[in-house]
Amino acid sequence: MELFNKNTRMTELVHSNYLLLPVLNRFGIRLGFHDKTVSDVCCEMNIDMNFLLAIINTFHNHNYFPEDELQSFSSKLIVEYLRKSHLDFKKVNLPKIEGLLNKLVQNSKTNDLKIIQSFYIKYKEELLEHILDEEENAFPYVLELQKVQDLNIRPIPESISTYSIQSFEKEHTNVDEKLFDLKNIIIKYLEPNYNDKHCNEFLFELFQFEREMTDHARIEDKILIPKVMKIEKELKNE
Amino acid sequence: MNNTIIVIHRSEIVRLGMSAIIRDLFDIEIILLSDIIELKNYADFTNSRIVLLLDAGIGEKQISDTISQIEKPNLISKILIRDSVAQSTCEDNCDCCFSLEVPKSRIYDLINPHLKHSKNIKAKKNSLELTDRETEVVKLVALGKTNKEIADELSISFHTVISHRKNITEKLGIKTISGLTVYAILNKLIDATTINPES
Repeated sequence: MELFNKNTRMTELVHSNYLLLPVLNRFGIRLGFHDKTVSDVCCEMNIDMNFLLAIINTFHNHNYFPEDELQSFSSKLIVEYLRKSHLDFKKVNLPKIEGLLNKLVQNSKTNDLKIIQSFYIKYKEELLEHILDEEENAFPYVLELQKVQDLNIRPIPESISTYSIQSFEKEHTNVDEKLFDLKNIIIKYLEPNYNDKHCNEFLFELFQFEREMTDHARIEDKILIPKVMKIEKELKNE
Repeated sequence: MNNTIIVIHRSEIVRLGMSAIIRDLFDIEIILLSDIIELKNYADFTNSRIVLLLDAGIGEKQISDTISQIEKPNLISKILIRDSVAQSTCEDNCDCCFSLEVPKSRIYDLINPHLKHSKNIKAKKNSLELTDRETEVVKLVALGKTNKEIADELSISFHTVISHRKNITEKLGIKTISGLTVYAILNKLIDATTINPES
């Protein structure tokens, strides 16, 4: 699969993968591209082009994941992007999934779906809790840590020296596994008296959300956390 | 009567390879051990037919000592795995042997005669259905029991519970406890009214 580069036209980018649309929105990029290239748009909107390219290329091509390059971006950029993704999850994806599931339950004659619905609610609560925890604890810590390093603040404030990223960030596994289970239970074990149209819509949305979540978790677990741990180590070794 | 195949081999590559091949051929419980000493952690072989696939390097005395500690299994077959055809082994005390050079296609014929055939054992063919024991375990997991509690309740070892859990996840494609609970309710293994799937 070919990588997008600074000369790729924005139109071409969306044509090759429309799932990138919400990703672009997180950078403030909106439609009406005319013949602009990635580099044109980034110049115009003052966006870090290499970061944008890294994010869209890793999202588009699952096998492409240049860890070293990705870890070279500032924590601030990464956290900003993750925060915007969180906002999408909370305001767009989860409400949409929930709405579709409600419709599916209302339009189907099987009780199975009610059980699946409570499973989903539990999943959603767990995910929201995880997001809140990152927003309130992990991200502020990361930004503070980056500031201490960039501005060479000494002595290192206690808010940094007494913590480590591992005290904030738990692995994503359990939440991600629940999403996978949800999908798989429906596909494998749903009884036939459900509404096709509503069920498909619900599943499409779940698949798309899972893809977003995988990408998101990968940025946190493989980029942000290792990067932060490296900074922590450097500061400790002084 | 249950069949259990136990692969005891120092090489992880051999253990995993044998496990993959056996899984392909039979629907059967498999236990993988790197050292024969670990066998004593498995206490629930009562009333089961055991096929031991043994590293030919393990001493005959060690084998017989360990086997004598296993609680009254109905029948044990011993099959030796040699590193090469040239490796000399004491074959008096084993039921058959093969070397690592054996083609995969021969393994079915080597192991099959040692298994007890009942309707539970289909000479496989991609069965992803849970065994009765696995279904029991799913029920207990869905009811919120810990692995330790499940082991006590079914009078099997902790390790065996873990191995059942692994197989269940593999067969069903469900990884989380709440996912298994939903599965159990949908398949009427447990009564939905007695349990809250949100917990």
